[in-house]
Amino acid sequence: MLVDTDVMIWFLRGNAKAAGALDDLEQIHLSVVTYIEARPGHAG
Amino acid sequence: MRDKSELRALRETLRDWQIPVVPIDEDISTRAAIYVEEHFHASGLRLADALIAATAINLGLPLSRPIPSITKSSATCSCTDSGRRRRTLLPITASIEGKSATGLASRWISIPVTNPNAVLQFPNPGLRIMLSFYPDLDTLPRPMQQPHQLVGA
Repeated sequence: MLVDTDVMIWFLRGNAKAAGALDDLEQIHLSVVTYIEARPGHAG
Repeated sequence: MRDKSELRALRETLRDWQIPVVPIDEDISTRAAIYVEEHFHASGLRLADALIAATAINLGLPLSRPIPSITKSSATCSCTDSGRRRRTLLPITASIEGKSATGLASRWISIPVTNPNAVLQFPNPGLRIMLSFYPDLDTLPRPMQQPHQLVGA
């Protein structure tokens, strides 16, 4: 599963639904685009 | 995400869960450019979403949340003359499933298709053509058809 930016940010902000969804996954991938967008200070 | 604790949380999550961060390569950037060309005017597809969608397609992975604007399948071909880029761009026409499109050699031509196994008709002799099939993101996961090479008749 490639986790998109919104789901990753929801998870990092403590959203229980996002956390539950990610917990159920065996293997997660992240695009470098999502990594950049999820970093603090990203304006996009 | 506004402070260092949030950045730390992101990094710890990646490390603890052993989540690989996938870089952008040539194939991903090419696919993303095609998605933006096809969907920006109709739906305002963001470059970032196009890159993420192209990464999912390239890896053959499902996406955690479908990107609604990318909903149709298309066959996209890139044409070269004997494997070399032409300085003078040559008009070419390709057709598939009765639908045709005209473009210039060394440029992308995109034809929406419903059958990934449809045969591409390509009348220009002496040109090599690369065909890639981009499946509908809403139906992921499913096997990704490998790009294959066709030779003009």
